[in-house]
Amino acid sequence: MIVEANGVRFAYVSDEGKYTFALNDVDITIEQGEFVTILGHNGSGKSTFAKLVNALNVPTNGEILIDGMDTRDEDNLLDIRKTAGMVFQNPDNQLVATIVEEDIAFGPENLGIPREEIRERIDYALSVVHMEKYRKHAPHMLSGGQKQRIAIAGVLAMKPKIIVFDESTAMLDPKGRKDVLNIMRDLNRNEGITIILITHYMEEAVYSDRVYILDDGKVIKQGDPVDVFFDYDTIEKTGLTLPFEAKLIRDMEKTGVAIRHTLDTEELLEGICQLK
Amino acid sequence: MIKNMTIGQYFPADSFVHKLDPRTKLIITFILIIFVFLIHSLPGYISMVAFLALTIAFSKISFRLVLKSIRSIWFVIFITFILNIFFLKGEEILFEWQFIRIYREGLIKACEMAGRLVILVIISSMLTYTTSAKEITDAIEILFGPLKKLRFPVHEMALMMSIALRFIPTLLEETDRIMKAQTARGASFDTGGLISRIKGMLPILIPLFISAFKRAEDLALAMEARCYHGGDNRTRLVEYHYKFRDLIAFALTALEIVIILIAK
Ligand SMILES: Nc1ncnc2c1ncn2[C@@H]1O[C@H](COP(=O)(O)OP(=O)(O)OP(=O)(O)O)[C@@H](O)[C@H]1O
Ligand SMILES: [Mg+2]
Repeated sequence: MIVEANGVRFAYVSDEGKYTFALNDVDITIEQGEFVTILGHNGSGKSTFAKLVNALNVPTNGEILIDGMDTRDEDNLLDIRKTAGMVFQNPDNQLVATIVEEDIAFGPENLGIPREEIRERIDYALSVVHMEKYRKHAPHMLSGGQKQRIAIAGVLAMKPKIIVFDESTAMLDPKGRKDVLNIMRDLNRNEGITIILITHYMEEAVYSDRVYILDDGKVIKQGDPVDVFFDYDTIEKTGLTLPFEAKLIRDMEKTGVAIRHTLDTEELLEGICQLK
Repeated sequence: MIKNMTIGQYFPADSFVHKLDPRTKLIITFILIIFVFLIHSLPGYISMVAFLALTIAFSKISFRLVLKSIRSIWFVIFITFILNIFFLKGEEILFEWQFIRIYREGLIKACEMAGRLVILVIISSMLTYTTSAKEITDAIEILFGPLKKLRFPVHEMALMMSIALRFIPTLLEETDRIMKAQTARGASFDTGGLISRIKGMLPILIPLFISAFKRAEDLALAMEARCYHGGDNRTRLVEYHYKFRDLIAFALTALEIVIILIAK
């Protein structure tokens, strides 16, 4: 298990000392190489969980192990952050340097990696996100999607086993969103990196092996995307919007038509064609 | 509009000036800024302009960009000029109308002050145009490195500076956006007296500050997530070595200083 959260609770403490629990008894386990999507509406605790994986937060109760390392142990801090990289929502607020390659070097520099190796890692990271041409560019001249790809490269240069994407596509245009999603899939399939995708767009779960649905700080449903998405009652409760394919199938079933559950447009089309 | 401001921006290119060691550029900039105030003669100014023209020519930075840097502070230059021309008294009156008297000395002084400002702007923008924030920071960190022994937070100061430079374009863009949004709501920024203009700035400044704080918070988190833990055990992507071209730059600077001192 690369991520193992056992009975995790997390409380934000206000200035008056009041506790508000953003996560309540959350158990999430993720295997090396999995692509897992965590869905939930605003304020359901998704970002809070993301920060636990990266040891930016530590659990109030319970424990979370990253590749076997306990996030509560200060000595593990750098190793955990190296293992579990994180890409945030706003592309402008996570780039530190004025030149693409310098930004990508930031993580490895912090880790004290020798210069030659940093260069190799920059080459590698840029090629994975298809941004080789932009090595010497200034990030503020790039599009939102390109900036996010640089942010991904910056994480890749630390050679992580896990990358957490906390709504990293939310501020992008459709093209940028698609590019970034495709890169996530490639990272997962070709580089063997465990992906934790946090989003409130259900359709972004297309590439995932498993989905978790968070609601008010609790995991209310977990499993194969098709099984989870077609549990209409649960989805309705969370206020999430079903992807088009699932919505169509649901509406057809309401009128009494039986059709195979799928999230793939082609398969859905085939299913419809086979209807009498 | 405001987002076209170019001060503090970096324009990558493959040129002699770009390739100079950032320490060289930083030191030369510092020396030139001091010596600008020691120029008191026309030949001195001419040699300085020639020196800058040479720098611009060997930097592949377009002249238009240099003009732009001046344009962004033209108001300051203009005020300096006006103050000097109207308020400096001398002996020889060039122009007189009602209570306005312009003296020869005032005119010369005004031109000199405005000229100095222009030169200072060009010097400092040539540094930032041709040197990335990272290079400037690295150079500061290395040059001031010895102060670390005195517990002076050299690394932190250098990082702060580079982040400030990194966010200038982002915040300018944001200012532009906020101004447009407020204009669309009926705000106006360029009418009325001084007081109402200052008041008019508030609807821009307040959202700008709020967003800047949000950005700072996000950035701190992102840096932590990327294993930032202060300056200890950090490596640097680029290693700096003085090259022959740095020697040339220093030699030319020395020549310029000598000219300024002689022409005094
Ligand atoms: N710094 C904080 N201080 C206090 N409460 C917070 C803080 N951050 C989040 N919360 C609260 O914790 C809960 C979960 O927040 P979290 O940011 O994890 O949600 P989220 O699922 O990421 O939402 P979003 O979709 O808006 O990003 C919310 O009720 C929120 O108000
Ligand atoms: Mg969030």
